[in-house]
Amino acid sequence: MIRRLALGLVVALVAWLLAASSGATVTWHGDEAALLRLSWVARPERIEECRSRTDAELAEQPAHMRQARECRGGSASYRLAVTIDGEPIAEDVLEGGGLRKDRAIFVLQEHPLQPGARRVQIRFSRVEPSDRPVDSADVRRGAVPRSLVLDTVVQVPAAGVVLVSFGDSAFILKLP
Amino acid sequence: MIARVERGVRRLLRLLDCAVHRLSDWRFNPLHQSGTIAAYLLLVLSVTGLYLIVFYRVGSPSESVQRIAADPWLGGWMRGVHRYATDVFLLAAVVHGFRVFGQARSWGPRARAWVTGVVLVGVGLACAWTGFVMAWDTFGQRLAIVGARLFDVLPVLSEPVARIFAGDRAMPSAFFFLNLFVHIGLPLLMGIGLWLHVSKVARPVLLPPRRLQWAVSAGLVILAVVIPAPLGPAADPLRLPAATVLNLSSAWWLPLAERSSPWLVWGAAAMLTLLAIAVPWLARRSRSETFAPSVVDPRLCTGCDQCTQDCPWGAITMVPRTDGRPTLVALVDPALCVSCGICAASCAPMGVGPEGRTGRHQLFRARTELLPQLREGTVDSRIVAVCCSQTDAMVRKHFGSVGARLHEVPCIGTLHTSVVELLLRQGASGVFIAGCPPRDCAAREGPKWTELRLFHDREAELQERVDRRRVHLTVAPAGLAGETLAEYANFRDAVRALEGPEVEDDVDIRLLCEPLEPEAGT
Ligand code: HEM
Ligand code: SF4
Ligand code: SF4
Repeated sequence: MIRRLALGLVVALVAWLLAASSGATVTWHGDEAALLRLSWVARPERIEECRSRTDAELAEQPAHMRQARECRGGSASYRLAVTIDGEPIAEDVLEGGGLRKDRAIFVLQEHPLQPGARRVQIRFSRVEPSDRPVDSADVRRGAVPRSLVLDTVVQVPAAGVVLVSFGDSAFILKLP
Repeated sequence: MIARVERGVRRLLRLLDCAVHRLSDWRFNPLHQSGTIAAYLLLVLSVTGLYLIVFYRVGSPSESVQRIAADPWLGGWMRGVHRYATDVFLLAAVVHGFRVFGQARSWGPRARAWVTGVVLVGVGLACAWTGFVMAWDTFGQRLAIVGARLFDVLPVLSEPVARIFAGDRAMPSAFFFLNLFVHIGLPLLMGIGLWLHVSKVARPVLLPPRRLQWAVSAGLVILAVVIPAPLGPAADPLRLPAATVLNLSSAWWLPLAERSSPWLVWGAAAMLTLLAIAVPWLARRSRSETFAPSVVDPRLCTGCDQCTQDCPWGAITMVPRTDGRPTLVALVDPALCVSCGICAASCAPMGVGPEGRTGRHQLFRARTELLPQLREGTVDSRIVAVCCSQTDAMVRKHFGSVGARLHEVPCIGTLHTSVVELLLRQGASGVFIAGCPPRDCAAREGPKWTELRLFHDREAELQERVDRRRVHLTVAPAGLAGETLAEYANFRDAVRALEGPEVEDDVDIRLLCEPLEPEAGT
């Protein structure tokens, strides 16, 4: 009888432990934690160095390849600077994806924030090449504007995410 | 070093076994049945999963799961059983892995079972991961984000997968569809994995006894009804819940992973996996003496085919002879043989077995070591207690103190019945044989074959002329030394009541063929 009782108790204890471990509660951070999340996709501009071909050069080409201008270049890189309440939080230079860095730039960053009124400044601007020739052109339809700026005061909710994304040539701010 | 770890694991499992045996019937000790319980739970998970899938919607994952969980009839507890069965499955698989490791059953021909076992646990964890993501509560969301971050450091996609969860656009239902696809696909892989896992063992036992199946199923249902499986609030990408549910059996690593760099997590996971997969190489022994593969003596083999039927590892086949005799001859594949020695007791002419452990060697040992002690003495002191060396050390120690002659064997399934006959006809008043619980036999089928050979005429059977009243077969479960010794005392009393055995001076155990005496000293 006592053995049965003990067995019942042990089985109940094991089952309870199982349920407790299956649905344990874990505290990840205090209630006050909040986050600034930057998430967007931007197509970088293409910076090209172009020059006009001479008549002699053109004559060397087959008739169907006689283009008056010859361009070489690459995709621009961008500087992303984040400042919260005047204090710089992050500064990165971002390049396009892919081997030739000509694919979209994917931004995904998270920075801790304190709840309350916070001044959030985000600058996403093209890094200008220092040796840029005068005879150059920037081409790409749908590319991100040369410089994007967000400078605003946000009421950051406790345990909330302030999401900054990008669309229609401007930053979009989203709160919970 | 590894042998010491094995011993430590064995000791720990023995302690647990002792506790279970004190409280319940050793025949249903779930620790002995952990492998079959894991396999049974795969079935339970498939059945409950099929039910849940009918009500799951990839377009509204969290709402559909909340609805299932709120269903007081079937849905709520089906989900609970599915959830708790996952926990028990992982636990059972790990216990089973530790058990075979502790019994030094992780290397040699068992390496495939070991490695596929490790893979099965890994796939089980991945499957649990996708399952929690399906529910899309705050815990599932955390798991998904960590998974995406781990994936994103690999140079596979240029767009970070973690952006899906950023909240700037609605969660694509394609993600939940893919997740569901993986959640269903992985169990199919596990089915193939399980088949590979047991592909080298003969007659694998895949399910626990009926009573245990019922107990496990009823336990899961009761638990699911009494403590419904927890479900957090629906995931919201713009909310940071301070606390969430954490399933410890499958996601114990999550808090560590969130605080570490993805490369560190990959590194740690790779190291752990490599270590687990390397166990068969770390634990391997020299294949001589204790672990020498079995060999067939073609001069003795009559081609009866019995050893091929008894070998628990399917390591013996019958092949044509080269000496002109009309029968086939047995051939052991050393790459499959785990050196358990079971075949030695299956062969009436004693023509097979690992070197030093064949029937002939056993007879030689009995003649030289045991018989001289049995010539005189009381009835009690002439009872031979044959004990598997894997049984509880306490039992073996006590046999000496109650006056029995202890005769240790590597497994009772290796004991040739001719040894029992020889002992009884040359002075032993009784033979008491104590083995391990059948589902805990390191040689898999030792107790089963022994019982059939002693009492049910399975080859190589104990001859009819042997008085069965003087032979007793029992199980000596860990922690029940008292019960085993009490059983021994009953047997001793029964033997005392019999008339003293007639000692035959010249016993001819040359039963079927000319036995070849092993060289002296072997
Ligand atoms: C994940 C679920 C698992 C299931 C369902 C499972 C099931 C089984 C079954 C049914 C057997 C055959 C038992 C018999 O008939 O004797 C077996 C044998 C074995 N398992 Fe597992 N197992 C699992 C995981 C593991 C793990 C994690 C390991 C070790 C890392 C492992 C190592 C082994 C070994 C070495 C054997 C052969 C033992 C022997 O017969 O000597 N298994 N398993
Ligand atoms: S049991 Fe013995 S006699 Fe029969 S096939 Fe095997 S080795 Fe040959
Ligand atoms: S020792 Fe005999 S029974 Fe055991 S695996 Fe080898 S051949 Fe099979």
